[in-house]
Amino acid sequence: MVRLKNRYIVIEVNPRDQNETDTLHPFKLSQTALNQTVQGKVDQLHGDFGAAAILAGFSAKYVNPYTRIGIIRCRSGPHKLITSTIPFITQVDSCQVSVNILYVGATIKKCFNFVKLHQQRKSDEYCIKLESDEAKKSLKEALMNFGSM
Amino acid sequence: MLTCNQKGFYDLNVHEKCFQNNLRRTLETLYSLGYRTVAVNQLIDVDSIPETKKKKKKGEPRETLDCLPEPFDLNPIKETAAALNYESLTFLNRLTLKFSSQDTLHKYLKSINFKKYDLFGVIPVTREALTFVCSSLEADILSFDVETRLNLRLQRKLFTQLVDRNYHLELTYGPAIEDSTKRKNLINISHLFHTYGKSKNIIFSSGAEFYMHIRNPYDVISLGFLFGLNELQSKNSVMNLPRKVIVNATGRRHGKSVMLVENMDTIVEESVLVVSDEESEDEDMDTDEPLQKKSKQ
Repeated sequence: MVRLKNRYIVIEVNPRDQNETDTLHPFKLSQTALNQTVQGKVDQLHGDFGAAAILAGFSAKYVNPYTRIGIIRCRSGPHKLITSTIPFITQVDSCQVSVNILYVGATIKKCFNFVKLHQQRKSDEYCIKLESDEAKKSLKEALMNFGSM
Repeated sequence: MLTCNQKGFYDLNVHEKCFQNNLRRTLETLYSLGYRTVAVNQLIDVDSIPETKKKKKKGEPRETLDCLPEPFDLNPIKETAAALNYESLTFLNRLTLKFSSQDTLHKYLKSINFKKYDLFGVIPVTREALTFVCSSLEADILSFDVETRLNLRLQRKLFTQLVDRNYHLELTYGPAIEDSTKRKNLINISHLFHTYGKSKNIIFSSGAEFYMHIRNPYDVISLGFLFGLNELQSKNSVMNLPRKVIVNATGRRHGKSVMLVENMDTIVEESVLVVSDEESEDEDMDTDEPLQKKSKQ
């Protein structure tokens, strides 16, 4: 039995005009916008061939507005076309952004583990700045929320 | 009957419009590029035909009215080819039916004109239609409409079923030349074939509606790279596999036949050997067929 191989690309979408101090503000993005941006960029850089190649099994999800994590799923093989274009994404839905690739995994579980670790690290980082326990708790909850994944 | 020559390339989908408007130019292009076997395609969209015909049939059941048109007349083409001194060109009639459910298809398959076509291709539009094609319909070529994005889900199982039943999957590069979305759809489909069935049994054909859209077979072979085929596969898809399609089609038309014996003397007299030549001889052929073929039931 042969199976279909997928690749999951974990990305981080950073808004450009926000400065370091208010990193805690949620940055909202619609999933369709992310989807369209990635596809449009691949079309721009790799042409019709690239756009057609990534079409099968492609989906992009924006998971958490606090840590700005998104996950792109695509077939193994054409994922190279996507990873090569992601650095060139500068604008999503009229917001100036820069996109980092954090991790490329073959199963959603591996990605999940990675994201979990990443979120924990982030939440620890932010908690230092906060004073009250309640604020810390709510922050943690917000950061660890990746139900849509 | 099957006298298609071994050498030369195959183009199993040239739209009838090509031969209606620019017959001479089309022939010149095809011959000079090295195509030796050409199938004239007639595309019929089953769903677009209004149901008034059905009502008529219910009211007065006449069988004189056939729902399929007569096959494209190949004689003018042959005459032009003979006038241009083109040798060893073979012409075939191909019928392509585009349908969404198997109910409407039945009357077409039973029609009298249906048997006059050499090749039979199908374009399923819905999922039901695709499963019907995969499970029970007897046809030679499975094609896809590149104008709309594929809304069917191919499965590996369906694909292997198709390959086992000697289907060939067609990729038409003609429409892809014109337009970007068609190109994207075509590449998408071909990649799906690649992932689900290792690109087995794929044939290339032009699907051209205009002679300018016909390309050199060697260019088509290199085009295979875009569709995820390797060099050998893409060479086969313009040479050996289309030949196999024709052989299988002959087999399909005669039921379960193993070999076909025929008197060569009558055929040798004709300078241009044409598979679909028996439009007029059809009746004679049918009567003495059981003697000529060995059938295995």
